[in-house]
Amino acid sequence: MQRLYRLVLENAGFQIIDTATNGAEAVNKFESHSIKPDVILMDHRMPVKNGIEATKEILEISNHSKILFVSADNSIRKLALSIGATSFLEKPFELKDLLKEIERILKLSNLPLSSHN
Amino acid sequence: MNLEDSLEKSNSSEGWSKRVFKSIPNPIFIYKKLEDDLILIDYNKAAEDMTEGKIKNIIGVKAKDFHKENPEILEDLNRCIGDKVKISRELKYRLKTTDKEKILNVIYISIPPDIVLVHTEDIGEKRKIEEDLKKSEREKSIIFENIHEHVVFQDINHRVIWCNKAACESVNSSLEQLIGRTCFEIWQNQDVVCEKCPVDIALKTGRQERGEAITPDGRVWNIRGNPVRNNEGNIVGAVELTTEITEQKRAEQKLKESEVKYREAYNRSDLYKDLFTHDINNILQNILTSVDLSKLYSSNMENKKELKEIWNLISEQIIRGKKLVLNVQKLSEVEEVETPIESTEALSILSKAIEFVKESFPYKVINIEKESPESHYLVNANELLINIFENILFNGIKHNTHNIIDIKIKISKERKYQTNYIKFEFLDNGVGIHDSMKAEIFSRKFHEYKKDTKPSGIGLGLLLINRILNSYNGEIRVEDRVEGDYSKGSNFIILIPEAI
Repeated sequence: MQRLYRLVLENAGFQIIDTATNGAEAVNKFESHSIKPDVILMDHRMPVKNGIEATKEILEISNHSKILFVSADNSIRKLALSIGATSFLEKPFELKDLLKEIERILKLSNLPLSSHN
Repeated sequence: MNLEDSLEKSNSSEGWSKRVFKSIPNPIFIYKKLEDDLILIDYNKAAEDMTEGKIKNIIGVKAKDFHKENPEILEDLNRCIGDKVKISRELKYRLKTTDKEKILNVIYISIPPDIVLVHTEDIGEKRKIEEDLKKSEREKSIIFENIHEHVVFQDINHRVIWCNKAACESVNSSLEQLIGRTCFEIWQNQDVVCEKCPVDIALKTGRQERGEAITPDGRVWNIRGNPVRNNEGNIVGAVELTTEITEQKRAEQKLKESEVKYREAYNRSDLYKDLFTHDINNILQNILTSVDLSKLYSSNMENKKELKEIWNLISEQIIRGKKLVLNVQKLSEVEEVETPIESTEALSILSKAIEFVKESFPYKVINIEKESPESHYLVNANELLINIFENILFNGIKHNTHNIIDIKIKISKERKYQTNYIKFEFLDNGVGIHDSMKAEIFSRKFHEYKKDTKPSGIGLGLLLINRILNSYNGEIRVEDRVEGDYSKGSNFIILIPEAI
């Protein structure tokens, strides 16, 4: 799935800073990168640490982080948004919906649409 | 002597004795022999009252005439006067004077030379009371002797005073064999009072107490102890009422076990549903994203390579979906049907699994190498063994980001807990499993199939492997392919009991 997201986002003009295979790895990598991503695509069901826990910890490190929560589990939506996720997309979603949502998030941050991380 | 003479004599010469005679509370009749018969010559006040005053009309009447319908009275009168004997009899008699029926205790006393004193006592009321009491006793006895409940009346030292038939039969004894023995000796085979005995507590508290007990034969009893007080209010003993509840307890236990089984089955089904939903949604997401991407790429022929990759991805997702459905079917099979375990040659099954997995991923470069000192291994398994191998291999391929997927399968023997196992090690170069997950994957929480405790990242495939191995009394654990570095891949180690 990561390979797909990479293809999709790179094709749309975004730069992928990094990827992680579990929530703990996501937090560690976020912390270690000096240049923080403009948007983080966060899944929920991951080994070691799930998306909710990873989101909380990333927001503790940097509360301006924009996290787009994606999950097949719609029951998580309310919780994800309540802890600070910027947006929630329920799987399966179309490519255009993903890109539309990323654009909306970037507009919120007043960031230009091109060359995003 | 004629009648008048007799009367005069008794009236004049024995004044005080006559007063005594007259005042005796029980009816008395005096008969005198006259020729070959007896005639009534006197009576007392009580006799007058009993006959409502009409007795005076009987004076001088011959007994043969008056009692002709009561030959037994005539016989007693004649025998008394003739043999000079005292006769005592209970008699049901309808008074001719009042037409009232009486139950009398009659005593005929001979007073020589020619007098018979007939003393009567009305015992009708007493008889009625006795009859009522007997009837009540009979009814109580019927009740006590026919109820299934044990009724044991014991003294303050728990010695049996009385018990009903059910209590006697419960220990195959007669009442006589039980009286005087302690209840704890009879029913518990011990020489001290049972702990928390409700009867013992009732004797102390003076209130009804309840409890349960198990006798040495395994039967379960509900016991009620009721203190018994005398007229002064002192506790003099207790009545123990005992009902057997063994079957009820067994049913309760079965119900509890059923509830647990039902709850487990419900949790399992809930978990399967949850996992299936999640996995299917991810598969659909991958297909949808791939389709969207391919639409983007298809307009530019330079993207042929990317297009091919996307189509391969789609195919893989379909296969993944197929495998998911198959796993759910197999899980249901394992839950519902007990497939017999038999001696199964494992290497041939493994080869079939390898072939199937490679065919399922035609676009991936997969190297699967087998390392086995022997050419065949017999294990205690069944037709589901192939699902174990397929799922392990699938996981090794699914969670692998390398261009070339390497899986090495090492087969050997291991002896553990006095059992011989065939050991299968699947070493892959996939993404690996973090240390924190290794213990959880096959932990008890996971076995309890509770959705909330399910470790993230566990799919139906591993669930299925676990269920099948449990049925074989086999084992599974996971280690790092390279010790200390989980990111270099995993080593799934499976132990299956060797078939003898």
